[in-house]
Amino acid sequence: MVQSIVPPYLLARIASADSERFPAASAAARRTLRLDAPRRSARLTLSIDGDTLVAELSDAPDREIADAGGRERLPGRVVRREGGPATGDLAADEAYEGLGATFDLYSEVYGRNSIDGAGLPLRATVHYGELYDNAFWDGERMVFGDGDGEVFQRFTRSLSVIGHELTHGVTQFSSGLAYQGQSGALNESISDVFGALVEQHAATQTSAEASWLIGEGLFTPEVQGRALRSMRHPGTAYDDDVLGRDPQPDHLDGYVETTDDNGGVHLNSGIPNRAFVLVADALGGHAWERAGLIWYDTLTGSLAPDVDFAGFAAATARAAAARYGGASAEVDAVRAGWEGVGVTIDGGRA
Amino acid sequence: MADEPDPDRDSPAVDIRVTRSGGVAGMRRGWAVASPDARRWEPLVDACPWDDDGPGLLVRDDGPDRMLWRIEVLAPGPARSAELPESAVEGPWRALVETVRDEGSRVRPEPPHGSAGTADG
Ligand SMILES: [Zn+2]
Repeated sequence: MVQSIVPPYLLARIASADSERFPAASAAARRTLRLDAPRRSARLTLSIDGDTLVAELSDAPDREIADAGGRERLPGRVVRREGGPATGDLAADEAYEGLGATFDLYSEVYGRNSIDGAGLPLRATVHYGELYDNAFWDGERMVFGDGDGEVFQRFTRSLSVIGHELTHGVTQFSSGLAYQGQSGALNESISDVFGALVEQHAATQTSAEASWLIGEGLFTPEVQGRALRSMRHPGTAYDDDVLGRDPQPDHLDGYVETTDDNGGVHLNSGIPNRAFVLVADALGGHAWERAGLIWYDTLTGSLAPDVDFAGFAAATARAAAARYGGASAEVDAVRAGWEGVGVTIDGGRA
Repeated sequence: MADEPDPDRDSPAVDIRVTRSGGVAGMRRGWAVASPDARRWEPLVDACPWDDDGPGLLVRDDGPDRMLWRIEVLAPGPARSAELPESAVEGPWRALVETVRDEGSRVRPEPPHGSAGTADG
């Protein structure tokens, strides 16, 4: 067995040293071999450098997929555990793979071990309800419906939606943004941002190459639309006889005041969504690297749970300044991104 | 394809509208029933605990990406409405909502509540 080559004390040392350096460059190498350690889920990578055996131990997901069998009862029957074989059920296997891709983004890029940063098992339930048109995070697990077959197909088809749901868990364990009004729209936007980044990271796409669509492939062919939302061009994702037109605003001028949907959290998220894309486009390259890191630092920094758009924007500028310097291209891009959607960051340069 | 309810027709004996908002899709869907058969629908409507929470009052918060249902009964009278998180759509509420969806027609969703009223058509 590969595990017997490296003694446990050495693994422990490698593990503690490894947390200091999480270069994206070694991500592919770490992914080449996955092994479950006996006590916790971890990933061991062995490679040869000259005549030296190099071992790396890194965090690995601990997934558990359950099947609700069309009922609205959680958790359902467990059909696949970490390391287990594919079930042959598309929804269960898509959920398993999607949770893995989401775990990889958070672990490899941001050094975060699962939703809570402490290796929380990732649990999902598929086939929830009958013709159920939704996916949600219930505080403990991700839940996916099969869709009504008329408008929606199964919700596990979209990796950005899986990343979106898991990110609700990350937000719950970090800033705890209140799910109402502007902080609720920010909560939604953060789930869209990291949901899109999961997809881009898995496909190794640059900001310019990415679709920036959330939920692409969920609609049946009968629907006139590409996705649930467009982060680059909010308000253009669908325009359908029955569904109506995508109502997302792309600028603060179009902010929707409503009592529906917790104060329009899925509508007004278009505003911070577009701000993020403007920042990512300005910085170029892989959006998860600089723009994503600034947003991640902001989410896991000291945000008030009821922060509004302006307060969040100011926090992103401070996060950019802390990481890249006050006179950096990153700070300029952040300020310009928010200006582009009508959100002004008060004061002088961050 | 569903027909829009015709606002100009004489008031039907039954006029019930159900709107769903929220969910990860953030998409509004609407269903409506316009029927002359009040006796068929009255028991379904009367079985619901309309006064428990009052119209437009949320009884609990389900968390991210859960759906919100608005149920409006314009006829049979008295006019009543309720707004419920999806976890509260159980028992008689669920029976009413599912019957409207099954037997009513899909309608283009009304604009977000609170921004442009609830005018139909
Ligand atoms: Zn969400």
